[in-house]
Amino acid sequence: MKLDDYELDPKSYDEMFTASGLVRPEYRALAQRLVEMTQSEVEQRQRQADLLLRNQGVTFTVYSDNAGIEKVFPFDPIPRLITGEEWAEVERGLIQRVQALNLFLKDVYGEQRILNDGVVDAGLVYGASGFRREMIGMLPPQSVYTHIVGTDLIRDEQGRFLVLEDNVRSPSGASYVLECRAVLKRVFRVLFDQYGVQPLDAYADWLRETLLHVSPRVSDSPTIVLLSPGMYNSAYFEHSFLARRMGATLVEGRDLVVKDGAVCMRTTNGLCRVDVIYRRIDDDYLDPVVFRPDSILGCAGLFAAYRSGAVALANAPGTGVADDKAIYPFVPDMIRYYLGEEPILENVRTYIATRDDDRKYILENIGSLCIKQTDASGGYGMLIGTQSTAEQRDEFRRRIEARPRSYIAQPVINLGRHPTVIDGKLEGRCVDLRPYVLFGDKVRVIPGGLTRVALRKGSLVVNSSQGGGYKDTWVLAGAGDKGAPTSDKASADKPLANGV
Amino acid sequence: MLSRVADALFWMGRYLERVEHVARVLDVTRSVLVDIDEVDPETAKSQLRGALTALSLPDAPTEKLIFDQNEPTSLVCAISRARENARQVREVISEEMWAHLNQAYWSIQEAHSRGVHESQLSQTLGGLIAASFLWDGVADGTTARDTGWLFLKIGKFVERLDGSCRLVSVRADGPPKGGPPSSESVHWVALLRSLCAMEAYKKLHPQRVDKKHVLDFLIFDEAYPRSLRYAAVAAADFAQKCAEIHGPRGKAVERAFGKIASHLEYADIDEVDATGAAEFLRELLGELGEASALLQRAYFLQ
Repeated sequence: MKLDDYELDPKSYDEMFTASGLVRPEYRALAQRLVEMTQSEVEQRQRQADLLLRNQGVTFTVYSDNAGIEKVFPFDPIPRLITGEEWAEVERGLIQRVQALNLFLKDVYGEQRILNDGVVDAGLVYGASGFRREMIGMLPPQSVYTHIVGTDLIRDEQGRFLVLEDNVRSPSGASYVLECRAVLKRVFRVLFDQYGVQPLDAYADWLRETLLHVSPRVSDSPTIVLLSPGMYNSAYFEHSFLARRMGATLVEGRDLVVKDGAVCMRTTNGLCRVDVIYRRIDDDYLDPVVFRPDSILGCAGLFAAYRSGAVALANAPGTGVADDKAIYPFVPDMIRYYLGEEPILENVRTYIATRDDDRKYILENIGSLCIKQTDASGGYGMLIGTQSTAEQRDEFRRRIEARPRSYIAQPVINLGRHPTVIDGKLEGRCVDLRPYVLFGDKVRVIPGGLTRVALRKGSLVVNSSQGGGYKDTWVLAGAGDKGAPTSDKASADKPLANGV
Repeated sequence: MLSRVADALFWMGRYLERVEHVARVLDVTRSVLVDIDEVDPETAKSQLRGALTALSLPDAPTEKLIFDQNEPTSLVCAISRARENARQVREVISEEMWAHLNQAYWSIQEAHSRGVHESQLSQTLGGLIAASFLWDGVADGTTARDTGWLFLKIGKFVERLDGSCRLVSVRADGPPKGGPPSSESVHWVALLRSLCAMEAYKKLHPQRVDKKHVLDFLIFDEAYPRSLRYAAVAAADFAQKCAEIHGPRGKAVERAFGKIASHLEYADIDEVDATGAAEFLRELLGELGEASALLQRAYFLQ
C-alpha cells in the first residue's frame, strides 16, 4: 500500500505525518507494515474485521434507516497511536476534570456555594434541561454522582488535545472499544505484538468495582443490575456486553418492582432484591411517579427507594446539569474553584448566547462558528457555519434570538486527522477520542478509548448516527517500557506523504 | 433467573426445534413425492396438504414458507424470533451460541437476497436442519447446566412433543381412501422420514412398513429420541429438575409433565388401539397445552 500519495491537509494536524510529510516516530513501524502490504491485503483485513464484528453482533441501530435497523459500526483497521507520555498528561487532565464535575454536582444539589459566589450563573444551572430539583438535598452513596464519564477530546490545528464536551449521564461506546481491540488484535496480530500497547482488559472489573463501591448493603455479593430500555435501543449490544462481562443481570423496567421500599427483580424464584442499578436509561424515564408519567421503561417507586438509600443508581439522576453545553464553558473555573489548580486540559473557546456580548458576536460571525444546541447530542441540532447555506444561518439566527439559553457557539476547529482506508486507499479523516473515566473508590481512566472517525470527506461530525466509524486506539507503554518498536526501513528523514 | 429471561430461553428452545421439524417435514414431503415413481398427483397433493395442516402452515409455495418475512409461520420468522430472544438474553447464553445463531440468521437472509432456485430449496432446508443440529451441539458444549439450561431444554422438548404429536395425529388415519395401493406405503414412509425415523424403524421392523408398527414406534418407542414417549419423558425430566431448584412453585408443573410422560410410558399401541390413536394424541395435545400454561404461570409471570 502506497503512502506517498497520501494527501495532507495544510489546515489540520495529521496524527501519522508531520506537516512536511515525515512519519512521526511512534508511527514508523505501522507505516512500514502498511507499505509492505498490498491493497488487497488491507482490504482483506478490513473484510475480516467486518465479518468478525457482524458475527459477534456488534451492531448499533439507526432509527431512520428503513433498509434494516441493525448496522455494523463501520470499522477502520488502521489503529491510532498515542504515546505513553502524552497519554499520562491526558489522564491527569481527565481525572482532574471529573473530580471537579463531581464536586460541582455535589455543590449544586447541596450548598450551592459556586452559585452564591457568582462563579457560575445560577440562571444557567436552573435552566439546564438536565437539572433535577428532586436531587436537591440528597447526597448519593459515597458522594459519587458521575460513576461513568465519557469525555470527548479533539486535537486542534497544533495537535493539542482539547475537551469538546463532557458526557456525564450515561455515555455509551465502551463495549465498542473492547470489541474492536479484540478484533484488531486478530487482524494485526504481529504488529500489535511489536508495539507495547496498554491493555484494556481490566475495564469490566473496574466497572464492577465502581458499582460495588456504592452498594447500600455490605454483603459478599450485592446484586448489580444493568437497566436497559431493551433490545430495540441503539446501544443494546453494549448493555448486554457490559452486563455479561461484569457478571451483572441485564434487566428492563418490566423486570423490576418496588416492594417494601426496596427495588426487586422478578425471577423464576420470586422477587429478589437489587442493590446497585447501572442504568442506561435517561433520568426522565427512571420512575413514572417522579419523572415522566408515561414512561414504561423505568419502575414506579424507584426514585423513592433511591432517596431512602435502599438502592444505588449509577450515574446519579440530575448529572445532566454538568454536561449541559452552556455549563461546559465554566468547567475550567470549577477546576480552579474546587481544586485550586489550573486546568490541565483546555476547553474549546465557547460563546454563550445568553450573554449579550457573546450573542452579538455569534450573530455577527455565525458563518465562521459552530452553533450547538445546549441540550442536544449525537450531532443533532448543530450548525457548522463554514459549511452552511444562507437560509440555514438565518434560521439559526432566529432560533438563537428566540431562545438564547438553548445555544452556544464555538469557532470551527479543523479536527486532527488520521489515515483511514477509503476505497482501498489511505486518506486523512477527522477523528475525535472518547476516553472513559470511572469514579469509584479511586478515579481511573481506560487507556485510550473510542476513536470515532468521520468517514465522509471533509466532514467534521464523527457521530455514528451521522455516518461515523471507529478505530482502535493504542496507548503505548510509557518511557522506559516497550513502547513503539524501532524501525530501520521507514527512516525518519524520508518523507512518505505529500508534504505541503 | 429473571422470569423474562427464562421465558426467552424457553421460546428460543422451541423456535429452534421448530425450525428443524418444519424444515424436515417440508423437505421430506417434497422429496418423497419425487422418490416414488408411481405417485399419482392426487396422493401427492394430499400428502403435502396433510403436512402443511400438521405444521399449521398455510397452503403456500415452499419458497414462501421458508423466506417470507410477512408470513409469521415461515422459517425465516422462526429463526428471527429465536435470534430476537437470544439477543434479549445475550448475557445469559454463551458467545458461541449467539455467534452460531447470528450466523444462521445472516446466511438465510443472504440466501434470500441472492435468490434461491426451486431446485436448491432442498439444499436450503437441509442447511436449516444442519443449523439447528449445530445449535444443539453448541448449546450442549458451551452451556452450564443451570436454570437457564433447563428452560431451554424444556422448550425444546415441549416443541418436539407438540410438533410430532400434531404430525402423527393428522397422519394416524392413513392415506385418503380410494387411492392406489402404493399410496399406503408412501404415506407411512413419508411419516417416518418426516420424523427422521426411517432407519431406526427399519432396524426394529426390517420386514414391513405398516400402520400399526409405525404408530407404535413413533408414539411409544422408548429409545428413539424423536418418539413422543421419549420427548415427553425428557420434558418431564427437565420439569422435575426445575422444580427441585424452585421448590413448591414448580410442583404443579412437574406433576403435569409427569402425567403426560406416564400416559406414554404405561400404554402401547394395542391399548389405545390403532384406530383410536388420533383421538389419544389429541387428548395428549390438550394436556400438553395445560402443562405449558402451568409452566408459564409458575415461572414466567411474577
